[in-house]
Amino acid sequence: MSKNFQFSITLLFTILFVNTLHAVPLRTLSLDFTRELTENGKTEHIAGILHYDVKAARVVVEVTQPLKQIMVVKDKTLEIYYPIEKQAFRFISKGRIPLPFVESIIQSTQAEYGLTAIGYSLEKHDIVDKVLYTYWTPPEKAKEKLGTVILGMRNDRLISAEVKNPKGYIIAKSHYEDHSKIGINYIPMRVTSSAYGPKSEVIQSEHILYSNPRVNVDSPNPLLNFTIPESVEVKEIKW
Amino acid sequence: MKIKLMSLSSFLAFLMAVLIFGSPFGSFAQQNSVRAKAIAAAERDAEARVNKSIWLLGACFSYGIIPLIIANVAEPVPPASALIGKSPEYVAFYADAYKTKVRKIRTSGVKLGCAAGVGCCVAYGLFVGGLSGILE
Repeated sequence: MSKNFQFSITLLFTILFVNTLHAVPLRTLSLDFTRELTENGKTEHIAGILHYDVKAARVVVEVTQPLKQIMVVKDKTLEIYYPIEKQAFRFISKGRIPLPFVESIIQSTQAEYGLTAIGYSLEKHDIVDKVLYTYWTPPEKAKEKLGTVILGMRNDRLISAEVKNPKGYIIAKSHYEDHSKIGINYIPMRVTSSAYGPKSEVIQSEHILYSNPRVNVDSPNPLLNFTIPESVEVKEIKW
Repeated sequence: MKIKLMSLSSFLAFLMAVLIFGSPFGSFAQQNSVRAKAIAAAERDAEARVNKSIWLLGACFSYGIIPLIIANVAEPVPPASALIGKSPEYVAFYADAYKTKVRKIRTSGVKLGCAAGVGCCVAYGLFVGGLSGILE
């Protein structure tokens, strides 16, 4: 009885502890990535490391292949630094610049993937082979250019997204696979997307693979606070 | 034999000239190709953002499809992901071409708006003028 009680207590603690660990909010995230972009029969390969500081809403993309490049995105500023060429650019935009790669991660943590926030409304839902499909109608201001958005979800994980034009033809499609639990959310480690032309032909496809996620690492990450060296002349562009 | 030697030496001279003068032309051609690619991508992205056309939103999938839609509905901003892994030359050409194209699209939009405004004023003037003529 006492052994059973001890076991039960241990089990309860283990479950609580594991849950607490998973529930820890995301502070920092680093991921290795590879990106393959195919367009006009040519494929471009890019590899690097993505660093994301949640509180500062700052993303640092450290490109290692095909060249060395450090890209910092925060609010309305985009900085690009080339450590070998010692060249730098600073772009200042009027609006907030979407954070590369991370934006899709942020969206996956929001209710309805942020669609309701921009005026989309749920039209209907459907379940096929244990996949819940939800159909979203665009807001009035976007109805001329965009049609329905269809999201596919299995076990609370987004597995597909499809965008149609107002005539019902597919414009773009994404598949999300190999979900990994990061913090309290499931993040897809493999994202495949295709864009379609007016004749339903694939005009562009992209394949992103994430690996080696590092969450809330205690040791300071110098790249998260990266700034362009003062000795380097920065070309500033306002657009 | 003498003739053969002459032709060989002239061939070698020609080869050396090609090697010496050819390499700058090669890098020049490469730079031209980078320039052409950057301008084409910048013009396409500028068109997509200003006209909010999702058909043209190339090289931006890194944001994911949903953020792409959100970006399309919201105020358009230049894409950071279009510059990931690109050389400094590409970035410089892209930035210049993007700015130029956006200015061109907006200016043509303003001109169209002005033309429509002037047209409306002229039509209104003619209508009022015609109406007062009838009343007199």
